[in-house]
Amino acid sequence: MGLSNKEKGVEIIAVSIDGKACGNYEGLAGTFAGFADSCLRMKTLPGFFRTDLTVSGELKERRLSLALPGAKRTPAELTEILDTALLNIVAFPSTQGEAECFIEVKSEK
Amino acid sequence: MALKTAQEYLDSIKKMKPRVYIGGKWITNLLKNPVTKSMVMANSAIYGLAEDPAHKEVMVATSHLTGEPVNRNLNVARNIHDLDMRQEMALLTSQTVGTCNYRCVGCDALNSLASTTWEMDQALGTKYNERFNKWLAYAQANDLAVSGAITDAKGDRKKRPSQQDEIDTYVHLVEKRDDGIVVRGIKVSQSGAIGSHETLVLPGGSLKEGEEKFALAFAVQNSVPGLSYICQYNALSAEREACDNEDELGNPLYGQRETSTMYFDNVFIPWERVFLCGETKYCGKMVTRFAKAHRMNCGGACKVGFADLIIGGTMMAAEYIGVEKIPHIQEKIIDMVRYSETSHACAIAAAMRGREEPKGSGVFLPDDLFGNAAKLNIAHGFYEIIKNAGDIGGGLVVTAPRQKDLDDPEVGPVLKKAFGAVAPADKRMKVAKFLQHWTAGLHGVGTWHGAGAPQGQRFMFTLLTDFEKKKKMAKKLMGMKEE
Repeated sequence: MGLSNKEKGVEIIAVSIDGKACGNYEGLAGTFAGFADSCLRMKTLPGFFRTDLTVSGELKERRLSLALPGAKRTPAELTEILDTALLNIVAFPSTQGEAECFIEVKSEK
Repeated sequence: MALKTAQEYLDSIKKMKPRVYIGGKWITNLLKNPVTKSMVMANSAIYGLAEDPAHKEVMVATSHLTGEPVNRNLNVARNIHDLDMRQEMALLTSQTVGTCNYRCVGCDALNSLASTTWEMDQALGTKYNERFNKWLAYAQANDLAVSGAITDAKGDRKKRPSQQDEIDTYVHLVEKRDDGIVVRGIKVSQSGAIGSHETLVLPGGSLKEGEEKFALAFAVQNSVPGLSYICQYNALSAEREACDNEDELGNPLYGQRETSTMYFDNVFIPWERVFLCGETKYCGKMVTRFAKAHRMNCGGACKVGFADLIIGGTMMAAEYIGVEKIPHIQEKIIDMVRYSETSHACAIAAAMRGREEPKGSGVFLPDDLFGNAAKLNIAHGFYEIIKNAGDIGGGLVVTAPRQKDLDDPEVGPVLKKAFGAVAPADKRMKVAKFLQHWTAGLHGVGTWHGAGAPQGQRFMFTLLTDFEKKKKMAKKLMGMKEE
């Protein structure tokens, strides 16, 4: 039997866009906290620091609800932005393990 | 995935968006600027070496955490063989890219962390080593490019960190939170940080009680908000940006040595990435252990690889003008070999005399005296080597026109007449440009200061040498009685 996420020191983050699941990412434990800090304190996504892309959001327990103000973005565009942001905080797509952190994204006009 | 290929590294870097400033502009794509691209291509070549079966023994190790094969740049040395292969890796990478292995400082930093966090946990009951091992296992599993940041900006050297007029000259703690810490400040001269996935940040030196806020060691992802990189910029950077054919440059693919100033503007670091926070007593040990590893590798192997390239280029320059058999030329080339191989011998000795430190940790570090000897010897020897390269290469090393000018219909024929000798002008000018890269570029001062300026090694010699024992031996032989 393999090690648990906690034993390995990793966490699985599930991403959904406009209510639809779009993939899980594995990062070192603390990655979700870093991602949330980026969005809530710095108002930006990892890899998008001091760009035009600002974000706003709300954190409840291990669930981060995000809005990306500005023009309406397609789910494909949002998926790509989130994929880039998570890679920039050194989290990678994963098909293993159960998610314990959640990022829910919706676009805003 | 335990070992990334060169292409996989490049693919991963294409998606990274660190905030990088170079030569008056912010750039969004490291591979589109010719200067930052050279750094990324050098890192890619380092990944490529681990794919080559001929270099497996040197470039691939076995993780003590998982038993899986890992890139040696992410390996903790667990025995003498590991230390020896570590210094051989520094030699091989320098010979291959003619610039930094940009994963090298990170490697030596993680070895220091493995040793010092273990000691802290034993003495203080902290959980730093457990955290560090989880971080390391993750870095190994994803074969991350990890750079190291040690040198603070330091400001007025007469003043302690907390006495500085500008506190940001040292990386320091701003806030402790339940989920992590917030840090700010400046680290300078950070080789290859821009093209890495993560950077290990260590204290820049020993700290005293009362300086707890500067006592920090942590791992940071390189594109987190608040972190910016201001790249070095000089004549070689401008030349690379301006040229339309990189083949004309002294090191066409991999360039000079690219560093940046890293500015931490209230960057959040989760606790899982913090490996020292406030324990001033252990900062000196952490830095000293980093230095003893880095002086063996940087001084006794990396710069020896550079010397091999310079010696090769210098011999070609001599052959191209027909002076290779003249006795004083041969003597000068032999001197170049002497300086370089003496340093390499010190690195091998440092590895062979390495030992577990601290006892029980399982972490092996090189012998301090030999590592410092390697670095001090090459700091001086490198200037002798480039002096001889300039001597034998001749004035052409700094007076050559552009390679491209040989193709100009008007001046090209004149240049071919002027510089054709035993070898045609184009070959001579290519070698001249190569030697210019070494003798009139950044590597002299870089070698002097890299892994610490020579005064640091002299200080270590004073600490590590038992002068009383030597006096006692001399007195005994002279028949003098002990007073």
